[in-house]
Amino acid sequence: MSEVILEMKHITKAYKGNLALNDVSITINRGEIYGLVGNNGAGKTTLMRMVAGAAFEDEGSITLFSKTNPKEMQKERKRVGTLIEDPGFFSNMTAEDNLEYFRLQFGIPGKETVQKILTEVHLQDTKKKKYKDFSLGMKQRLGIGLALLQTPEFLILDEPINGLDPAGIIEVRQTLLEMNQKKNTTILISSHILTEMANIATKYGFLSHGKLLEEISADDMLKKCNTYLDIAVRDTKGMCVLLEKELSYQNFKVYPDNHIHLFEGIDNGEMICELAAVNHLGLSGLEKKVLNLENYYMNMVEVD
Amino acid sequence: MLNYIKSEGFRALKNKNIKIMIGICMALMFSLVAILYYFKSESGFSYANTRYAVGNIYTSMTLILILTLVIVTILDDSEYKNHTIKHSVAFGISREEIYFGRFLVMVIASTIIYVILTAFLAITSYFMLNHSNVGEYMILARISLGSFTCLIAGLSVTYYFFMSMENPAIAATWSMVLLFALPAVFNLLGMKFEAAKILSGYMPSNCIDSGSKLVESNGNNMHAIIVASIVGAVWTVAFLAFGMLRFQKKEIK
Repeated sequence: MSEVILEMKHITKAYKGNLALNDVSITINRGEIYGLVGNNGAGKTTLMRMVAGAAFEDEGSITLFSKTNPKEMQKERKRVGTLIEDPGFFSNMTAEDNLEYFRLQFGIPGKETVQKILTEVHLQDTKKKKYKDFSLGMKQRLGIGLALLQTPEFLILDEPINGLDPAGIIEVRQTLLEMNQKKNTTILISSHILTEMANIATKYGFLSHGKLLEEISADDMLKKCNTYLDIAVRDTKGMCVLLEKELSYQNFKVYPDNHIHLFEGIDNGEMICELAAVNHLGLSGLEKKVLNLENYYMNMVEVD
Repeated sequence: MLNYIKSEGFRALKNKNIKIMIGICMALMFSLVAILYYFKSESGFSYANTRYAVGNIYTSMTLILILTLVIVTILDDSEYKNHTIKHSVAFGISREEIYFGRFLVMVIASTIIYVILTAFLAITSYFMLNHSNVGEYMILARISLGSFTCLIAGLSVTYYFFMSMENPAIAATWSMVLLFALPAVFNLLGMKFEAAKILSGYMPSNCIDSGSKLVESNGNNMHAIIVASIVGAVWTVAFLAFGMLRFQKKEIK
């Protein structure tokens, strides 16, 4: 069994009575790329800030590199690289000086490390430019550079491709995949660009309104994300009974807008049509669809 | 802690606003000496001497106290919008190291700035003005030493508010209230109530202002030096402790 890098158990966090996280439990193993998917305000950033020690849980426990004690966990954070919310640098200092400041602070030997990172994130030519004069994409690159400064074993990246141009997005993706494959770096990443997330994640956690709806591996997701039958029917309850009793199907999901997604027997559309007509269930649509990360998440949020 | 202090020292050295502030203060000091120098030969003008020039520092220690507020503001460098502390926390640097490390660098930077400015005034007045030869430089040294902890208390109070509040304007206002308005109120109340008069003696700005025993005695009153030093030290430690407690519980943005 692979080593558990991060384990969060029953985490609850409220801000002025509003639940930001509600009984969330996630587990990230070494070498995984964990994609945290959720809409704005779902609790992704709050969760990441807790791992980074910037926010505190009201209830629950966090285990980082097998350490649960806050003081011990603090030491383990030296193995973690983070980019959470805005990159956060001194606006009147140059990119180079900003990285040098953190290099000194983190006790990383060798001044050349800063130059290496600047080259890696393609900011070598603008290293003398003040951070306040950087574009959003450049700021993001510098933020990623800082996260890579101490060669982390575990990377926490909150919307890392925000503001990046298409070439930048590809570069970041390649860098992360390379780190994951060559150095076995574990990554916790959130992004609104789900197609991009689908390109790299090996495990997903779906958050909505502070609740973890599902934690699923990319392989299992892929199985689920194959083709399904979208049944639009007036009497969804009757249809469910029919699917279970008459056809012995178990793998389907009911949505509030009178839709049922059937993940097995998808070639039996005609039979389903006939049965629905005989039983007067009010069938109004039957369509074969392919599920991807985007509509998988949207369907889940709708049910929630 | 040493790495954190090194990085903060690096940042202080790179801070242009600190250099601008030192430049402005030096320009003001030089203009003071230059004006005195200009009127040096006028008969009846008794201020063109070193005692008057350096006296401008040791009789205006409350102005230096205001300068501590300016230094904290400059060295804080808009943390409320830069959000850089989160990286230090995320890297596993303890909050104690962050809080005390930053403060220590502020103390070192402020002390260096004070030494540079007083040395500049002392040297320019020495070369440009008449020598009073009444031990004015020793008076300056004694009052500076006696005021040291009270000036550090100014840093500690301002730093406390800057580290615990999101809005720097509100933080600066609270610092002004605590360091200057409150002592002024106690001074007024002290005219009527004995308890308020006693309490007003334990406010840093009252210990070092021009009417204090420390300054009036030209720094020769050992009791005044000890009281000022203890008052400053107690305020410093108290606000460092309050600040640390709040910072431990603070969620970093």
